[in-house]
Amino acid sequence: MTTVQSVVTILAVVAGTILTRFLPFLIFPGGGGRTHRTISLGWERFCPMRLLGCW
Amino acid sequence: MKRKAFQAAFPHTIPIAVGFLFLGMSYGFLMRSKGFSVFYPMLISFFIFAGSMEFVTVDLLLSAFHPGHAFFLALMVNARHLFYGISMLGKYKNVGWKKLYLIYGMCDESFTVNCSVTPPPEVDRGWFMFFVTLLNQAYWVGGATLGALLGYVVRFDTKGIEFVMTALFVVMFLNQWEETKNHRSALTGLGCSILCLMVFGSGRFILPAMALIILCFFIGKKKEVGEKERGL
Repeated sequence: MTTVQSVVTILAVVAGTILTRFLPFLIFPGGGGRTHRTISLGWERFCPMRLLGCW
Repeated sequence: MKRKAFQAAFPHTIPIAVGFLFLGMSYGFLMRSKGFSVFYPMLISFFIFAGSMEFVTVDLLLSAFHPGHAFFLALMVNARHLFYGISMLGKYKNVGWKKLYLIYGMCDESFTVNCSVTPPPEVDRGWFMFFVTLLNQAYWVGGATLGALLGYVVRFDTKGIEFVMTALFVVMFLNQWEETKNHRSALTGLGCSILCLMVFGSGRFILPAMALIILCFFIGKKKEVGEKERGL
């Protein structure tokens, strides 16, 4: 396996691992309970921190 | 605030440090024995940070190039993180930017401490969990790097060292067997693996075996729920 192929393989494993960790928080951004939030029309709607429910 | 949180978190991570340093060193040494430079175990342990999957990655890097297989294998092997995440939905609430790192750095041991330990009232909960996660990751990355560096200096016949991965999984299996009274899930895993090994062969049995195990659990859970409803 070349170095590039090794890096791609590692990135695939990283992607799979990160997905398993982040998926529940992406599905339930409000922490599983009811969420009350103002839907913004700006770019911040797509901010990863907001999507994950950091605020 | 940070200092207090660190002081509260550190003692809880000491037993983990012992295990992580030793196992991390074995991993680093294994990578070095397979011909990888020290940067591989250092970066892999930092970015993947999932012990069992890192050992599996060694084999993935030595076999044919198949990133799709690597991706799905990582999903399957780390599927338990989905359940950890669901359990931590409430705990990781209102901790600000630290939430991103807490999710990224979640491993079995950090999950156990963050889930079961309540920090003292004067300690910020977010920072406490942050330091538990950070320290555990530091032990693991440090151990892996140290093991790889030792691999440059210490030279001996490393034939059979890859058995450390098999030993790790056997110990995990025995540990789970001893912790639970109902061995149905362990036996399901064993039965499905043996069946798929016979059908697909040793080179291709892992993914079908894992899919079959999930299917069996799904059917079993549905049956259990159905029986409970009928009982009511």
